[in-house]
This record gives sequence, structure tokens and C-alpha cells, in this order.
Amino acid sequence: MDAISISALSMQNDLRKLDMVSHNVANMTTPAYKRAVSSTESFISTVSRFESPQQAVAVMQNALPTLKSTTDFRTASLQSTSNPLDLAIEGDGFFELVNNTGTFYSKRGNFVLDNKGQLALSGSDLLLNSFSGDIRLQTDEPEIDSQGRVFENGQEVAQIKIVSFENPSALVGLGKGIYELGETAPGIQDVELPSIRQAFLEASNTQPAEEMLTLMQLSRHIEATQQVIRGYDDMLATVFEDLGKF
Amino acid sequence: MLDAFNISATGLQSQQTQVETIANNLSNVNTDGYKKSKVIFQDLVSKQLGVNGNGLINNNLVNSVGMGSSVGLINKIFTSGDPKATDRPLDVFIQGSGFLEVVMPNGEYGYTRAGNLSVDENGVLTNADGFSLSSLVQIPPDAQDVVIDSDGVVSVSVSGEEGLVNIGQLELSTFINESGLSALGGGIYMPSQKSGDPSYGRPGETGFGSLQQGFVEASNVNLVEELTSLMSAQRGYELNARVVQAADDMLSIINTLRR
Repeated sequence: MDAISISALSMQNDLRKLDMVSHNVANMTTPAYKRAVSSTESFISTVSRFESPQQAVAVMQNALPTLKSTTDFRTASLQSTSNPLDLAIEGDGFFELVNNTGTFYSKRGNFVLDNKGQLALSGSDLLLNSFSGDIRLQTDEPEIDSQGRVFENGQEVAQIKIVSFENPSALVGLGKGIYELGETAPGIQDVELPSIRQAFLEASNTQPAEEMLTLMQLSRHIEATQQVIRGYDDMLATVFEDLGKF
Repeated sequence: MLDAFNISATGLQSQQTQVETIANNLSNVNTDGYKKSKVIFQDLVSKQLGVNGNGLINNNLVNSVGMGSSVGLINKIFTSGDPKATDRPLDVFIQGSGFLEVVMPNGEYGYTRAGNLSVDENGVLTNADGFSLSSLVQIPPDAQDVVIDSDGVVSVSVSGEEGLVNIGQLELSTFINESGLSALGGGIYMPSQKSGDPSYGRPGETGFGSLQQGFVEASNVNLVEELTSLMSAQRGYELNARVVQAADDMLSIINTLRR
């Protein structure tokens, strides 16, 4: 690969990173949004994973070096909402959600009652799972304690199931803050003592300052790459013009 | 390759919807029985495409690709507003859950929390817009005092007679999922598939609120909450606009690659 192709790849990667910054910033007020962090690996370590440099070049003619998007699952601050069906998990853990196609996971806790009185994640048909199946309520003002026990008129009706993952990066995001299990095993386990806050929602964990810094880095990086390409172009120009004089 | 523009545009649109909703809430801060709206955002993701065995990707990111945010839904929050004393005999405050059912001009039933009642030309109790309550109560022309007790019993004192005369009973309706009701404006809500059908009962029965005469329900808009959301929406809008600007700068750098 020549200098121009490598620089072009690097520019394309910058634009991809810019997409990720845009996505994080567009979701800075989305409840329980988990920001995407981009990371590139050095050219040489990509090449070293191939059997021979020739093979690496052959593959990389058609594909970009790895730009990894990892989700930062750190917990964000909690916002008070005064809505009794809003739940936030303090610290580690995901809500387990079910519908007839399978099991899903989410940190977003804005639940609504459907017309059968079941607790569903808003904007979806996913029902919140408890240790005893889905949760049916009579009113839309249940009391939920910090361990996830749901009380109605003083009676415990269910206990919300919270699970955690040893390796949450193996989860596949489906949008709307919903995740499903990927191909690799994430090491799922029940959380024995969860900490749930009723009438709170987890905020987005987008870091405005960090995104702004990335934005500045990206603009400067693409500017520098532009200079590299121009420098190379100048060299070529010199070659063609000066050699032509002979 | 102009994804960054589109992604930031979704962010700008979301924040704009947020500001519009806050504006509507704030303009109704003194509307009796008004229930605040709340926007819920969701992140958009497009499905991941091919990742080959060497960890290299073909024109795609590893994992799913974020495509911005969208407005998931705009929910009505039905928490109770504070009672506001008016000393008007036809004002009732519903303490707890329940709606008054009114008959709208098209014959359909609507449901309201705003208890600032009045009477029409026949003496029938109506809501503020003149829609009669479906629990029909007619106040006789010679009535002097109207008393609505906490169980919804309406009685009047008539000149020449001793004590109160019972003239009717107000009923309340509740829904299993109040936030699924669709708002019609004027504080009237219509049942929808999401809300389920109304169930009826007398005020004070279990599951139903009780009535308090001489009070109306104030709007449940919380100024502090609205103003902090307004600030965060404004800053969010600003940052999204910055990203658009930076994306534009970067694309202009690419466009000027060739001098």
C-alpha cells in the first residue's frame, strides 16, 4: 500500500469516528444511553495478525484496518422523574426483558403499563421479567423497594430480575437501549442484592467534554493527513516536472 | 460518507422536540388539571454487517452502528397536582386516582381531571367547556347551597325546606394505564387501546380517589424540573450544532485536498 492509500484510510477512519461522536452527542439526553468509544489499532499490529505481509496487503486493499467500537457501560448519574414506573439501577446490572421472540436486556428503566396491566419497556413490546414471570399490576402506582421487590397495597407481588454480565462488551446493541446476547458468552448471572431507585432514570453517560476533545483531535488529525497527502502529491509533482526537464 | 450530518440532525431534532414540549408545559403552568408531557428519547442503531475472520471490516464498524437519537414517545405524566383553594362550591379536587366522565358534543365519552365545574342553562353540571358530566346531576333553580361531599354525593339546600336534599351522585372512572390515554386538549382525555377501558366507581371506594369541594387541581408542571431540562436541551442542541460544524470543516478539508 502506498502513502496515499494509507492516508486515505486514515481519513475514512476519522470520518467514522466522527459518526460515533455525532451519535454520542445526539444521545446526550437519551435515558441510560451508553456511549460508544472508538479505538484503532496500529497498522503494524493489524499486519502481524496475517500469515504474511503480502496477504495482509491483499486483504487490506479492500478493507479498512480495524476501527473498534466498544460500548462504555459505566453507570451515569440518576435523574429524579417523579414517575413511579421509572426505575434506575444503581451500579452494575441490567433489567431482563422478554417477549415471544426471546430474552433481551436493558439499562433503560422507563416502564409503562400495557392494557393488561403488565410492566413493559416504553416504546417496545418487551415485558419486564421477574423471578416469577411477567409482572401484572392493578394500579400504575406500585411501590418498588431498592431490592426490586414490587408491592401493591402492602402485598409483595413480584421481585424484579436483575442480571449482570462478566463481559458486557459481548452484548449486541439493538437500538432503543436494548441489548441481546451475542455469539460469545458474556457470563450472565443474577444480581443477588441489586440497588433499584424508583422514580429515577439513569442519565446518558455521554461526556460532552470528551466528545468535544475528540472532535478537535479529529479535525486536526484530518488536517495533518491532508498535509501528508499534499506533501506526497508535491513529491510526485517534483518527480514528474523535474525529471521531464532532462 | 455524510453520516455525521444526518446523525447530528437527529440529535438537533430530538432537542427541538424537547424544547417544544417544555414550552407547552411551561405555558400551562397555571392551567387547572393540566398534566405535563415528557419526551422520551431512544438511540437508533442500524444492524451490523460483515466482519471477516481477520477482524477487518468491510465498509462497516464492528458491533452495531449508531445512527443518532429519536423521540420514542411523548408521555403524559399523571402524577397528581396540588389542591388549590378557590372556595367556589362547584370546584372539586380529585384526591387520588380517577377521572370525571363527560359527554362530548359528538356523543363520545371524554375523561378529565379538571374539576372546575359549572352548570348549563338547564342546571345540569358540566365541565368548564360546557360538556355535561355523564353522571347526570341537575341542580334545581331554587337551590341555595350546593354541597359535594367526599363520596361524590351532591346535595342542595332549598329555601323553605330544612336540611339538605340529595340530588345526585358523582362517579369516577379509572384506567389501568393512564399514560396510554390520548389527550384531546382542554384537559380532556380519550381512552385508547393502550389505556384499556374505564372502570367506574364511587369516590372513596378502594382504587378511587375522594372529592374535595372548593378546591381545583393545579397543574403538575414542576418549574425546577422544566428549567433544568430546558438548560440541558439547549446545551445539547448547541453541542450537536458544533458537531455539524466540525463535520463540515472536516469535509471541506477533504474537498480541498487537491489545490
